[in-house]
Amino acid sequence: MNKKSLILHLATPFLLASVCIGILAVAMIKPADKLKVFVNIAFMDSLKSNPTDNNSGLVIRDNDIIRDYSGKTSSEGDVIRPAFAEMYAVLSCDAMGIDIPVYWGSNAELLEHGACQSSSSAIVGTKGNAVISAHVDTYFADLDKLKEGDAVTINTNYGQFTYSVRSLIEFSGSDRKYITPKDDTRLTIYTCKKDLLGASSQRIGVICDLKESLFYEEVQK
Amino acid sequence: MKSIGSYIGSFILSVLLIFALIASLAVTVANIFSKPDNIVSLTEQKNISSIVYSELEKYFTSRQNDTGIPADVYMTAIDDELIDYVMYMEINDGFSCLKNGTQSDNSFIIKNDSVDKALSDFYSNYAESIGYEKDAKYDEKLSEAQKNAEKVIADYCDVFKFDAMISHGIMKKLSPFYNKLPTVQLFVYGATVMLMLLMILANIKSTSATLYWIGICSLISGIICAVPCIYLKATDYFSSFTIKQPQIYTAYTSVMTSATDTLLKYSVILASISIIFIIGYVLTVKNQGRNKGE
Repeated sequence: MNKKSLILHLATPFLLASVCIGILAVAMIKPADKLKVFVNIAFMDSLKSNPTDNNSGLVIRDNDIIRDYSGKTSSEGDVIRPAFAEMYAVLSCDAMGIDIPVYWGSNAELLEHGACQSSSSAIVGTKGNAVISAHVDTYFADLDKLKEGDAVTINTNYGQFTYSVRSLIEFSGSDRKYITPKDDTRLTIYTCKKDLLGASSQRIGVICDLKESLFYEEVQK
Repeated sequence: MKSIGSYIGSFILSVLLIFALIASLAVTVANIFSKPDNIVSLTEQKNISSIVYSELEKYFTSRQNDTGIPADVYMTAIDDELIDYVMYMEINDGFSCLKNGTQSDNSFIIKNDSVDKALSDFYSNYAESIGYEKDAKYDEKLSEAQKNAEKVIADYCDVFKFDAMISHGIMKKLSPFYNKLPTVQLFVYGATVMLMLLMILANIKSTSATLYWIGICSLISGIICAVPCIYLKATDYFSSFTIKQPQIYTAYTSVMTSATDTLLKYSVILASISIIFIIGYVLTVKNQGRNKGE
């Protein structure tokens, strides 16, 4: 084999590979463009973790809520908007004998930790309908014992809000009339109606009127 | 390479042969992973049934305050055997829809006596403990709980989400491609053999040239297939799969990883075979040189 032939023999694989990769690259332009969207949805670099790792899943944040504020208060002020799955309040009611954490947002895991406030409802301390729910088998087991006039207090890190039960309600799980936004300032708390095992399709609850708002001035500053 | 004409002819045939070899590798891997038995075997290897079990336990535990039914009631009645069976049926049902291009005929019913009995016993004991009369509502509630349990178990065992793909019409769209796969496979293999024969014919006067061209074609196609596989493995690409439900994540990433491994394995085999051809070529050339010297 002469030198010229040897060079040709050595160069041919590279030439061949370049031609094939070139053809492949050109042929893949259109399909790759179409696939790109799907691939970007299916594989996200920011989600590079195995679901069995501890760093995946919902992050529930428990906070210490101010219960013994002794500073100046005012009837108006600003609220501190919590993050999803953050404990932002404590709901107390002597008539029910409860003092329970309230989380912002609602899902099955959060409902195991306390009461949940729908993130589409008005945050306590603002105008509108604040909607809080919990399981009937745990936190709101005695919700049906509430009567008109009973007091319900909500403590947050920006103020204390006292409500009085206006009326008792019962509605179907698919009926949203009590949990949709309202023009007045109210608190709606509800749970499943006690039934023979299994999730009940009926809900019971109370609508409360706001009696007193005490925004913590020192926190406001 | 006796003449420029022969060189150009062999070069063009080589380009075609490289694509034919790449296509052969691709259809071989596609064929392996289009068989339900192989998918079932992969789910067994990855022990997905134990992941499904633990996810079901988590689900029933999270729902126990909502339903009033302790997770133990379900979990003592569910075992790996049941999960494996439901997973097997779901996978077969999915592939059957893929083959026929039809909606699921739900020919299998997840009827598990142990789950039904566990729920029935629990309801009965509970009703007796609170003095609840076993009336029509009781039967309705029990039946609802049993149906719900079956639905939840089936849903968790459908690790490839075939039901969702069937209901969204994806299987119907994929069906023609799936059914054409054997024909495509035959065509691709046939084309590869044909191109190799043409290569032999183009270099009929020189065995060494045939060995050379087929050798470099195998080497290049092996490398072209292996490089993306190595990239996917080196960057742990599949770990960024968006669906993080453990059983679905494991099922899909297992299939994707396994397909990548298989393609890489075949690419390496092809590249290794090419070495034999190239060695054969070198030896033949040396022999010819020696014969000329004599």
